[in-house]
Amino acid sequence: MLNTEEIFFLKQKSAQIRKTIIEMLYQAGSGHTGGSLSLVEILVYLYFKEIKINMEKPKSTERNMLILSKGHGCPALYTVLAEIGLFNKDVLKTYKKLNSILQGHPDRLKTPGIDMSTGSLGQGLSVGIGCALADKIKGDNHKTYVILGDGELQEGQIWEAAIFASRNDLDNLCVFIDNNKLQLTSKVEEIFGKRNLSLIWKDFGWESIEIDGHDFDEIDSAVLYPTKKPKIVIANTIKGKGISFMENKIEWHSKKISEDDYKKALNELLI
Amino acid sequence: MEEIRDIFGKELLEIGKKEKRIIVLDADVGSSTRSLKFSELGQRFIQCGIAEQNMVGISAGLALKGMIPIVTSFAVFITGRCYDQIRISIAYPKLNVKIVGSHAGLTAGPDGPTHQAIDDIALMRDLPNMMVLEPADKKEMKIVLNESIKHNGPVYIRINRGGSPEVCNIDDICFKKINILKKGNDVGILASGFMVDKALKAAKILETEHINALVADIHCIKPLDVDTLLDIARKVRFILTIENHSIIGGMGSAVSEILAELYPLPIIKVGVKDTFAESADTMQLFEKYGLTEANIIDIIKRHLKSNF
Ligand SMILES: Cc1ncc(C[n+]2csc(CCOP(=O)(O)OP(=O)(O)O)c2C)c(N)n1
Repeated sequence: MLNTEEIFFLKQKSAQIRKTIIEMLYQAGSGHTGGSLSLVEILVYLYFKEIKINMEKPKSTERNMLILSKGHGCPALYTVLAEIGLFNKDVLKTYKKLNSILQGHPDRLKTPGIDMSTGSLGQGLSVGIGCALADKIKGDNHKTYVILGDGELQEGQIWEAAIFASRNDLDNLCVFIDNNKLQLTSKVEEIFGKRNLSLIWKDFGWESIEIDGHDFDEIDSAVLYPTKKPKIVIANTIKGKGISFMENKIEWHSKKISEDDYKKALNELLI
Repeated sequence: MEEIRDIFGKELLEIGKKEKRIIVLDADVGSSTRSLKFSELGQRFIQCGIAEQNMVGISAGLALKGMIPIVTSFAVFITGRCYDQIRISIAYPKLNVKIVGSHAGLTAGPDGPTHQAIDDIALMRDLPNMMVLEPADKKEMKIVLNESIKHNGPVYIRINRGGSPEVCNIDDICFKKINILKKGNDVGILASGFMVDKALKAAKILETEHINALVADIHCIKPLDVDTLLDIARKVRFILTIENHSIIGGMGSAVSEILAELYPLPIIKVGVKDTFAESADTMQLFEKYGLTEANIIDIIKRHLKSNF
């Protein structure tokens, strides 16, 4: 259980990070706003509680790791990495610009703290499985976290990976689904159908836990929940969370933030 | 007769006994690729089932954690089926994964075009950070495997199915270098894989007709040994490349790209033309699609007559 001070701290960090994401995306003139804002609490929790990066050796993989399979959510991840000190916050201004260490999608070679290059959806779960498997073989006691989009579940490779992970008892693997119900051009259910995700994953042999993905207590208990199986955390989130006019709006998947939008958004975040 | 893939399986097991970071992954064809031999080492052999894309992703994760994964399947599936996975999860992050594809080109014979990788070199060669290798015989297989495991970075090794005559002298094989097997100055025949044997046989026959052909084995298709290639180009009147692959994007293309820029001379590419092949025995297919010493001889003679 998190104590009140911890929760207060994590909430403050999240508010700060939302503001920085908006500033960064406004400056860049493009970027995936909705799917970054839905990720904030999950990332803040992971990087302040679970993933401790050695600032001298950020590339070392002898630790808990995160594969952001929905790589387009990287503005949130870059902001968190800057917040914990992997690079200066000024660097965020260079996001997507020529010669920047911050690419449009995560690049493990260019950006300190990025554990894996992603951006082509559907691939990160398999990579996370490889990490978890290597730790098992080596007898290392680390955990691997993966974050998937709910639309991303339409990729076939996810289900190849789902079969593999449970057969291999990967209890050191914890996967979040950023279940924000929207994808690029439509609602997820219009493509995927109205399905019970929890039942599906259970049937594939996973430990399945459904939570409010913006609630730190719920994130905490899901992560700490003991199990012998690979774990899927279905995190119900709101795409565009925190900015009223962006919430649950398909177009805010990657709409350009105008000056007007920017001012309105900052106003909301100040409250 | 022991095949080149048998050597792959055996040698990998031997290397794996010493190098504990090696993990071998299979997608339900390990008895054919011979990777299954590695299951002797228990949990360091990973059966991924018929799910190649996931297998490639897992290998990337293993490499992130410092292991040396060897992902194996038929050449056609491990490259084409998983192209984007290799591109994004292995080549772009420059991970230390060795990709091994067996039954390359027409050596998948009777299984037909669905199983014949005639485009795998093209697919792997265009990826930044990727090394592309094709051993010609068993001796070269051993060296290529050992050296590629020592190399830190992504590598694709393509292996032919079937018996391979010995063509290389072990002392002459230098990793990543073009190996000149026979000197000559009329024409330079550049070959890789099983085609090296055919090139040598053709050169021998040409000699009886006073045509002096140089024969070289190119086991490292990327990065190409440019220095030796230029040396060869300077010595001969024209070049003929022969490969068990499409003439689009393969070894012949790689050679042409370099020589067109640095030392232009006529280059004739022999390989599968822009077509899918068909089911048949490998030898019959080599015959029908022009991968024979007779065809090499014929083309060279015609070319010498018409152009010079
Ligand atoms: C293989 C692949 N196909 C298409 C895209 C383009 N794309 C980027 S984000 C996206 C929608 C993702 O939806 P979801 O997984 O639900 O993420 P979120 O809604 O949280 O942004 C698409 C189709 C891609 N990046 N990769």
